[in-house]
Amino acid sequence: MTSDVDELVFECSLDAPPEQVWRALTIPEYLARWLQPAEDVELALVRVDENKSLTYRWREGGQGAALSSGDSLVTFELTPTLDGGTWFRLTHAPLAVPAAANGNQAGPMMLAA
Amino acid sequence: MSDTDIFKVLADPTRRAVLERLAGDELTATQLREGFAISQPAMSQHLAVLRGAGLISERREGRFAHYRVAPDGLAPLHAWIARYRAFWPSRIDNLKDLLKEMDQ
Repeated sequence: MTSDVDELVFECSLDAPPEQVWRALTIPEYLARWLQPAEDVELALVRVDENKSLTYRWREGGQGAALSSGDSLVTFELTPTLDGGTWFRLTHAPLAVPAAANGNQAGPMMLAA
Repeated sequence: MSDTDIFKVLADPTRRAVLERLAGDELTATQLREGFAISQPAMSQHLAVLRGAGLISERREGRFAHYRVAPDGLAPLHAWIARYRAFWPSRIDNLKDLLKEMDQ
């Protein structure tokens, strides 16, 4: 997907090192405290690069195993800053399934660019 | 139709191009196919998907169907964006508060 409205991006600096931000993003108790997702949202880890980037599949509507519609991807990217903090980048993108998708392209192709 | 279904419909480049082409004009399926390397049945299929998503509307005139953009078709998409545009800044504030409370 290439149009500008296809994903939301938020960036800011955080006054904590990436390792600490990482724990806030990955330890369930911490995650629940700041994220407070709606009750019908299910999160599932998709990609992990420790202390650097993390992607959750964000599934709305509690559709259980039903794939595709209702899903989006939330990616956190952490970059250390010179003052010991973290540059934080959050991308929230709908999960687009290409019309001609077949099994062997299911991975990276599903990522909205 | 849910907002995320609309994202799925718009994931297809041909359908996005059809929508763009209809933005300024009401067109028939034949007119829409001009410039696309696409068969008539394939175009019909795309138009049916777009109609099903409420993104375009059809007007029959004799043998011809005319298509135009449905004015409120993108409303669910805008609602999704508006929802999360409001959601994330408040959550990032929460995250900043939590980071202050956490042990290093």
